[in-house]
Amino acid sequence: MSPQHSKLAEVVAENQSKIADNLFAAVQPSLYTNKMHVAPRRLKQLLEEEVNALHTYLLQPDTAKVVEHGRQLVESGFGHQTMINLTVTLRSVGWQWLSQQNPTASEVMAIETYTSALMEGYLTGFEALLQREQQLTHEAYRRAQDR
Amino acid sequence: MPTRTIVDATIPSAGRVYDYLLGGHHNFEIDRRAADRVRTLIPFLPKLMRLFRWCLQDLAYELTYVRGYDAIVDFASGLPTSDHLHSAVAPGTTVIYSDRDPVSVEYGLEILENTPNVHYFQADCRYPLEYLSRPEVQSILNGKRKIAYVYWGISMYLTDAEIKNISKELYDYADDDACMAFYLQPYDPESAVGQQVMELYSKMGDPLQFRNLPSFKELFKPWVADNLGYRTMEEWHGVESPLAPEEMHFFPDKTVGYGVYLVKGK
Ligand SMILES: C[S@@+](CC[C@H](N)C(=O)[O-])C[C@H]1O[C@@H](n2cnc3c(N)ncnc32)[C@H](O)[C@@H]1O
Repeated sequence: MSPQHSKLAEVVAENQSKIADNLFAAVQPSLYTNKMHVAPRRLKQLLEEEVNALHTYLLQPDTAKVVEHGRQLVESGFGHQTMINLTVTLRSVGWQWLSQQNPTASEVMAIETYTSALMEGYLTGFEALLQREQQLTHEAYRRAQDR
Repeated sequence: MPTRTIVDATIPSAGRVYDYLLGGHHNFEIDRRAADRVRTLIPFLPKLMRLFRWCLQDLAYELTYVRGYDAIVDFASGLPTSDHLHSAVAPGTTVIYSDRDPVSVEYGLEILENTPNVHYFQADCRYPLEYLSRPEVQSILNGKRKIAYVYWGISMYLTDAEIKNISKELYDYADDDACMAFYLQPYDPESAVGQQVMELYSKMGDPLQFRNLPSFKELFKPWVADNLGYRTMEEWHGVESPLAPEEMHFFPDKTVGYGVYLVKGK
């Protein structure tokens, strides 16, 4: 586990709803894109949970947990474009704050590491979903034809 | 009604085209090509589909947590993927899915295998009484207090006579406190684009039917809308219409569609 980033965590906690609003605005354009299953009313809540997840990571930087969380976002119905918009916004929020400080090297890397792990989890989760669905579809066709 | 089923992978299927346009993976090259043709004619179709598909989670919540239904009978369900009704109902709710397409049924049975209280049968949604009277459905519904019926994203595949029959059969069958959730798809069939889309779907074996709100209301009688009324999709989700003004011309009612909870109103 990497060292914790309590200063950055504090900033995230203090600005939780502002960051969630930023995320909401950033993912709005991808609301109707392919592979997006989240209804607009649920989206706000899910994005607040995303800010909480980042906060948890900054206090307990466990990358494996972030990768797992990224995998779960596939199940939640986040689409590719939404994930890109989400991670870009998280990075830009992080940079905005860091640029006003005198950050340590590990602080600089914290949000980069977080967003990369999140994306890694999402991509592996998506691949697993594709394979699972492919298998299920194949079997469903076979059984329907055998009927 | 077409006798071809989704099992036939040599011709496009409306169900698989729908799946593809929603970003699913249960489709073939032939469906994707058909979907691309549909999308060229009506570029806003994926948005429209998304708007009504999003409602499923709301329906599940509203019917079970808010209105206290302990069973949902869903017709023409399609694939019970992770955004479908069963994922958002109150614990202990019975959900019975059905579709006429055997692959959706097989697929559904496979993914729902270990999900308690969720079932999937093959059935034609045009004849709800025949279906509800089946022993296997009866044995599941036996003892259920309040049952909600759902017809979502299917109105465009049903003729007036079929909707009328569904309304009547369910009205006669259901308890006084039953509810029928229905998605209404209006569209202008007279427009040049409307004609082309209808022709394309006819070729797939799934001819489309469109009507306006007053016609729907007539067909639903004696069911009536509850106090939420016929809500446009925009109102339902609290969003602005994602369609450009020129695209709205295809919608005689100036909305992409309505959702309604029909009740007996006794
Ligand atoms: C547009 S999808 C809607 C799926 C789901 N209810 C939703 O809202 O997303 C239409 C589904 O209706 C099914 N369908 C079409 N005609 C049917 C019929 N007469 N009886 C039962 N299912 C039917 C198709 O197989 C397809 O799965």
